[in-house]
Amino acid sequence: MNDTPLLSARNLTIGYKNGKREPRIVSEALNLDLWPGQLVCLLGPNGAGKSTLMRTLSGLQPALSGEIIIDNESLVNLKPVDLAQKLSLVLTERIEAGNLTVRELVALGRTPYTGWLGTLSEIDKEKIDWSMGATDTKRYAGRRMNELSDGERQKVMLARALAQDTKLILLDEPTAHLDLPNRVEMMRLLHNLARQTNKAILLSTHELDLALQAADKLWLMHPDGKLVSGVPEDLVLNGSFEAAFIKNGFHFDRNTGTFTIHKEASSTPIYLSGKTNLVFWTKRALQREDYIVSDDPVLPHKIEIIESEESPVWIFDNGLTTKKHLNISELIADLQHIKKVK
Amino acid sequence: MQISSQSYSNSRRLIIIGLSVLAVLFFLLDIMLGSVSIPFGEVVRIVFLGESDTTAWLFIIEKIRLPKAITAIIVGCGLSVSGLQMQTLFRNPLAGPSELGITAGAGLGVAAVMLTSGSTASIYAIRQLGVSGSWLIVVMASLGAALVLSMVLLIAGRIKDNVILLIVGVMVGTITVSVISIWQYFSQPEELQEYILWTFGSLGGIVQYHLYVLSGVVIVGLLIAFSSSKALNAMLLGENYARSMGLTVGKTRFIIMASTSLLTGSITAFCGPIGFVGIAIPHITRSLLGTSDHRILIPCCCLVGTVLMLICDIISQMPGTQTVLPINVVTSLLGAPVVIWVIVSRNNLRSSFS
Repeated sequence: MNDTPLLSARNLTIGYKNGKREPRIVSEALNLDLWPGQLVCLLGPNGAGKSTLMRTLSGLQPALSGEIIIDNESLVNLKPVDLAQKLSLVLTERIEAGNLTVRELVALGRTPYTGWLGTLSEIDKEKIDWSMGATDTKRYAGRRMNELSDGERQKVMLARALAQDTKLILLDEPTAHLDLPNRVEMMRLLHNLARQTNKAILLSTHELDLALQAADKLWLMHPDGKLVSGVPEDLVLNGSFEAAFIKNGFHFDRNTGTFTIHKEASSTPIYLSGKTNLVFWTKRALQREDYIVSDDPVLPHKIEIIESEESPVWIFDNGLTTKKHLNISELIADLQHIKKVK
Repeated sequence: MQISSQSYSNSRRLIIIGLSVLAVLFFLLDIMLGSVSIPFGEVVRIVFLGESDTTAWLFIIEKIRLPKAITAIIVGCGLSVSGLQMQTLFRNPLAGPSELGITAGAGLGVAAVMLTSGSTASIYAIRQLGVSGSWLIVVMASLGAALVLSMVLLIAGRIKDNVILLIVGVMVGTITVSVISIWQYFSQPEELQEYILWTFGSLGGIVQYHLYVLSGVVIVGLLIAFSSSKALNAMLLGENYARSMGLTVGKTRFIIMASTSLLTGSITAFCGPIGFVGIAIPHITRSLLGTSDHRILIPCCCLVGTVLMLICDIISQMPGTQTVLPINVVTSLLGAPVVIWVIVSRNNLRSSFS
C-alpha cells in the first residue's frame, strides 16, 4: 500500500494562460509526491503561488505543462466523477448555503456515489455518520449552517470532504478564519485522520508553528516559485525555512521555532536574570520596546526578577540606584527615562 | 436531534398537504368567480363531470375560465421554478427571470417574430397562426431568453461578484428593452397599443393547441429542472465544490440554462412579461419549508406558485365587477410587499445565501 504515492507531480509547471500572450508562470519543474498516511503542509509567503498549486493539483485549473498522477491515473484522463471519488476538497471560500442543515451539507459529499436524484443508500448514511463522528460534528447535525461559528463550519466542511470517501484530501487554508484554539483543534484532527485512516492530506496554511508541529512533511514555496520539501525539522536546521520567509525586520528564531518582529538593534542593552518563565515574558516586553536583552552581567543596566511568596518583583538597577516594580507595566514606564537620557 | 428532524419532516408534510388543499380550493374559486358568478356546486360538477344544465355556464367555464386557471397554474409553476434555478445558479437572492433581463430577452424574441412576419402582425395575430405559429413564438422567445441568459453568464463567468453580476444583468436587460423600444418607435400606434397590452400580461385567450404547446413546453422545462435537482444541490456550495464532487459544471450550467429559457421564454411569449413571481415565490417557499434541498423545493415552488398565481388571477378578475386588472399589475402589487416582508421578518435572504 505504501509503495506508490497517491499523488505525484512530474515536471509540473503551474501558472495562468492569458489569452494569446505569454502564460504567466508561477512555478516550474515541480516534482512532488504525496504518500498515504501523510499530513503535508504547504507553506509560503503570500503570492508565492500556494493557491495556484492547490488549484492545479485538484484539477480546478489546468497545468501549463508536466503531469499529475493521482492513484496511478493521469489527472487529465480522469472523468470528473472518477476524480471526485479519489480527491476531495475543502476550500477557503465561505459557503453561502445557510438554509442547509449540517447533516444535509455533509450528505452532499456523497454526490459522486448517489443516483440521479441523490437518494442516500444505507452505505451512504453509514459514511455520513462516520465522518460526522470523526470530526465531532454530530452534536449540531440538525442545526443550520448560518447558526454555526467559523470553527464549527470548517469542521462541517471537513466532514463533507470525509463523507466523499477519498484517499486524498486537499485543504486550501482551512485555518484561515479560525481563532487559535480552533486552529490547533483543526490541525490535531487532520494529523490524527492522516494516521488513522491512511489518507493523504495536503493543506496550505499560514500557521508556521502549527505546521512545524503537526506536519509529517513540509512543502515550502519560496517567493520565486522554487519549492523545497522535507521533514519540518530538517528544513528549519538547514535554513530553508528562513530563506522562504526572508524579509527585513523579521527574524526566525531557530531555538524556539517562531518568528520574532525584530527591529534594528539601536537601544540600550539590559541584563536580565530570574526564573525562566518570568524572564521569557519580561524579555518579550523589553524586545518590543527595542531594548536588547543580554546575558552579560557587567552591563550598567540590570533587571533582576525575584519571586516572592505572592507575586514576583522586578528590581531595576541603572548603575546608580535600584527601584522595585510590581509588574511589567511599571517597569517599562520606569525604563522610558533611560531611553530619553540616551 | 432525531426528534427535531422528525418534527421538521412532520411539519413539512403538513405544509405540503395544506398547500395542496389550498391549490385545489383556489383553482375552483378562480373558476367560480368572475364577472358572471357561477355557484360552487355547479363549478365542481362542470370541472369534474363536464356537464351542466346551463350551457352558457358550461361554455364560460370550458372555453374561458378553465384554460385561464390552467394557464395561471402553468405560469405559477414555470416562473417560480425558473427563478429558483437562477437564484441557485447565480448564488444570488436577487436573481430572477425579470430581474436579470431574461423576460426582456423573451420579449425580444417575440418582437422579432412580429417584425419578420410583417408590420401588421401582433401577438394576437400570431395566436391566430395556429400550431406552427405558437411553436415559432415559443422557439423565438426561448432563444431570446437563452441569448440574454448566456450573455449574462458569459460576463458572470469572468466576474465572480454577485453585485456586479446583477448590474450586468440589469444592463443587458436595458439594452434588450432599448432594442424593443426602437422597434416600438417605428411601429404603428395600433401595434404599439397591442404591444403595451401584451406587456401588462394576460392569462386569458390561450386555448386549445396553444395551451397544449405551452403546457407541453413548461412540463418539459419542469422535468429538466427536477432531474437536475441533485446538480442544483451541489451547486449550492459554489462551482468549485460542485466540480470537486464530480459535476461537469459547464454541462450543468447548460442544462439549467436550457430549462430556465424554455420556462421563461414560453410563458413570456404567451402571457407577457409577468414580474415578481420568479423572484418572490422561491423565497416564500424556502422560508415556509426551511430547506435548500431542490428535490423538495422544486415541487413545493410549483405548489406555492400555483396557489399565489390563482390568488392573483382571482384578484385581477375583480369578482362582482365587470373590470379586469392586468395580471402583471396584480403580481407586482402583491409580490413586492411579499419580498419585503420575507426579507424583513424572516431574515430569509441572509440565511439562504450567506
